[in-house]
This record gives sequence, C-alpha cells and structure tokens, in this order.
Amino acid sequence: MIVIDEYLAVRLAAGGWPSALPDDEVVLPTSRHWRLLQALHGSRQGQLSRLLDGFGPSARDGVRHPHPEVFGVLDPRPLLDEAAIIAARYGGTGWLISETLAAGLAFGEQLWFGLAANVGRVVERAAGELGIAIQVVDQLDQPLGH
Amino acid sequence: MSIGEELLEERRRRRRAGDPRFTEADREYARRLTTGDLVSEFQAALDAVSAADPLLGGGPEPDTDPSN
Repeated sequence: MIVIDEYLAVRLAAGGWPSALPDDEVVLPTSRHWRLLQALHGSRQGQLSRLLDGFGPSARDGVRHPHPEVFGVLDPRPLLDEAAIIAARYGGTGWLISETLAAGLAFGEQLWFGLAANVGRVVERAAGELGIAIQVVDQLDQPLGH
Repeated sequence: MSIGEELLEERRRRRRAGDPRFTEADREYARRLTTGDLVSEFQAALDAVSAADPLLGGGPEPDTDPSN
C-alpha cells in the first residue's frame, strides 16, 4: 500500500500513472482528501474552488467519491494514536501533517508526492527522523496524455 | 498465466486506466493542475486551505514562530 498526496490522486484519477510510482494499491490520507473536498464545497470565492471548477461535473464527482479501483481514502481511525504522538513530538503540526506522517510510517515507511512544494518543511524534517522515505515524482515523468 | 495472475493484471489495468468519469477534457485539465501551467496556483490554493484551518494545517512551525 502506497500513501500519496493530492497531486498524485488527481493524476491517477485522470489516468496519468507516473512510471516512477510502484505498481501497488494507493491511498490518499483523509486529511488530504478533506483539503480537496473543503475547497470543492467551499466558497465560490476560494482559489481552489475556482481551480476545481475547471473540471466537469462527472470529474468533480470523481474528486468527491474516488473510484475505489483507482485509489482509496485511508481510514484514519487506526492511525489516531500514532498521529497524536507525532503531533505532540513535532509541535505546530495539524491533522494534515500528523496523519500523513503516521500513514507513511504505517504503510511501507514511505510517502509519495507529486510535487516537492507539497511536502513541506515539517514533513521533510520529521520523515528523516522517523525513517520515512519521501519520494517526489518528477513532473516530467510521463506527463498526462502522453 | 494463472487465474490469480489474470485477476491481478485486470486490477492493475483498471487502476492505471484512471477514473472513467474523467473525460478527455478533464484529463487535460488534471494535467495542467498537476504537471502543467496551473501547478503553482494549485499549490497556493492547497496551502490556503490549510492556512485557513489551524486544526488541519497546524500553527506556525516552531522554528519560524517569531514568538519563540
């Protein structure tokens, strides 16, 4: 099982599986799905809402309810205790960071991101201490539609 | 190829094909968001969602909080 970020979730939903990504089941942490959903259903004034308006209705439904054969959304309950320990250890982390790190630790000690800028300094630093490998898919790796 | 291998290959094929609800236009828009000209805007927008929700995004990083 591989833990991915929002970029890879959108890429995979659109059929753009990066060649660098191992051929395995993939999951998106709940907090990262929540970030997309919050934008999708949020104010029309929101920047991400405007961006997601670029999708048609059926694709928006795909963001709301990911196709289970493409990627899953992680059940956060078994990770809560570990996430709380991580949050306490690395002060200032919210649910996004603590769940992502707990998920990476639980599933193969690795995290896959579609963009380096989406990793964040806290995740990068904590991952090193926790023994979690951060993998960033090269943007030039098999662009969608090619 | 065994039946098990065939089933796994079919599962792999479906996974890699993506969500059938995404049209060609949606796939092209996804490409722009994740690897194209809208990458920076997408990242800024994701960051904005986290910044607006402390429970989700957390507080200032300890090493960047000016009050520390």
